Amino acid sequence: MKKEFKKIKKEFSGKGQLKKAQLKIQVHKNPLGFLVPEFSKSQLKIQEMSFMIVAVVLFFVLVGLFGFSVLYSNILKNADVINEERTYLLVNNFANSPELNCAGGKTNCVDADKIIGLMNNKNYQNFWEITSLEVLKQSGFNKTEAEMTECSMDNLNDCDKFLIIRKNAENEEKIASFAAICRSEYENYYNYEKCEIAKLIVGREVKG
Amino acid sequence: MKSKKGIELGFNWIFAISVGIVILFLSIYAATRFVSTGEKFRYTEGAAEIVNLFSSLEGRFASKKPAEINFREDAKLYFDCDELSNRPFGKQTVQIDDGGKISIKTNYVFSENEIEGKNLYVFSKPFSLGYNVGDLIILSMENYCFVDSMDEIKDEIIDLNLNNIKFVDDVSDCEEGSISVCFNNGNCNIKVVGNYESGKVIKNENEVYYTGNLLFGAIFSSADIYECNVKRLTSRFKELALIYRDKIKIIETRGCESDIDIKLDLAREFEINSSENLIILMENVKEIDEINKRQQDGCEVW
Repeated sequence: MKKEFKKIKKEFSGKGQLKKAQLKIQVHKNPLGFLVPEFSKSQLKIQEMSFMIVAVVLFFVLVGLFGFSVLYSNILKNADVINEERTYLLVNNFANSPELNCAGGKTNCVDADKIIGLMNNKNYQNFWEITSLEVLKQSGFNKTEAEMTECSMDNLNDCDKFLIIRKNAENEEKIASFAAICRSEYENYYNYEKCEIAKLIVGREVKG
Repeated sequence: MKSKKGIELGFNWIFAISVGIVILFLSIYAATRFVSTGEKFRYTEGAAEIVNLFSSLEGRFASKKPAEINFREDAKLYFDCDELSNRPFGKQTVQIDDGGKISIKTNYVFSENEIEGKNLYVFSKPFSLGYNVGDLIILSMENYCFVDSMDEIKDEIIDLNLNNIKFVDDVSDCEEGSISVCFNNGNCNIKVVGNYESGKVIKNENEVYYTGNLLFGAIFSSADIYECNVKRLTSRFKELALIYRDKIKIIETRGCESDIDIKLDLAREFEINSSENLIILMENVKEIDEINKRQQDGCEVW
């Protein structure tokens, strides 16, 4: 064994040129069997084939994954476009919804007194597919978020913002529209409707 | 003597052919799945866009803007309604062919459970129970023939300019294949017994009751979708009653007085098990509406 090893070592060191046939024999002999496992020719072929199968399968899996990711991103994009369209339609029509619309069915008019009832009714938190709904009074137009006073039953005449729905959304887009906001007022033994301009702000979650 | 020569197939060839066949079949399967999934997504997208269309017909556009959707090929639309899910408002779903189901939470869609055709006709009508509750979206794909209809209905439909509804004086004048709707005691597919304000509609041996614009819903929808939507509408009516109750409290502090709140509470507690109860509720609501109309300026609740 030791002699044979020396002989091959000598041949590999360049002192002797190996013929093609010798090379083949070498594979069969493999005196270093304890280092490299011994394979027959057919075993090697099977191994080669299995590597090929793995490579082909991997290739198709990658192609499939690529196709799926393209399809999935398209779906997400289209779903987002549809969702955005829906939110625009909603914000344009919100002031005319039965929950917000002024008495007498005035077009594009929000009833400030109804908003309080809507804020108190928790069932409406999931009625519309939105993440937030705010009504900003004219007094709040030039104020920062921190400067604004939130409206409640007690400070209706002295507040800036009605916060109707507030959900935690990771990536929120806000869409706004203008509408009239009216409430009944009592002055000199006389009731009348006092109106001003307001901003309706609707939030939606952006996906994709 | 027979030749002993044969075609020699080495392991390489056998392997290549078998793996090739497997890959070919797998890729054909994947391609068909990909196409069918893409189709499903397209149908789902279409259903979502139809729901957006419903929203565009609501509010100020109700009863003003009819729509006709033309599909490239025959489409099947499936509608479902469940008043118990998404409490208390209930919800509906729409599905085109084998696409995904899209939820409808804020609209009230009146149609048959399954409609098929190339043209979809859509119009909307507001619905009030004293105050505005929501808009009714009416869908149809079939041709309808209204026999001896009330003038009010004729005027409203003519204003909408819908191509699938024809008006005739006698049922024999109806086009073949169209669904006949009789407003007297004729022999039609659908019979309306009552007047423009309230009554009942008999369809496929089912009776449903209507008030106001719900008449359109009763004609164009299946009995189960109609009953479900009536319950959904009354649920919203009750939630709105709570909002109005809070408003009454606020305007009372500003010198407005009314006893509507007690009557509203009674109406809110009224149990609606079927559309038949709606007629009784409507009678109560009419009284409340009269009180509201008598309120001084600036004190109207709705």
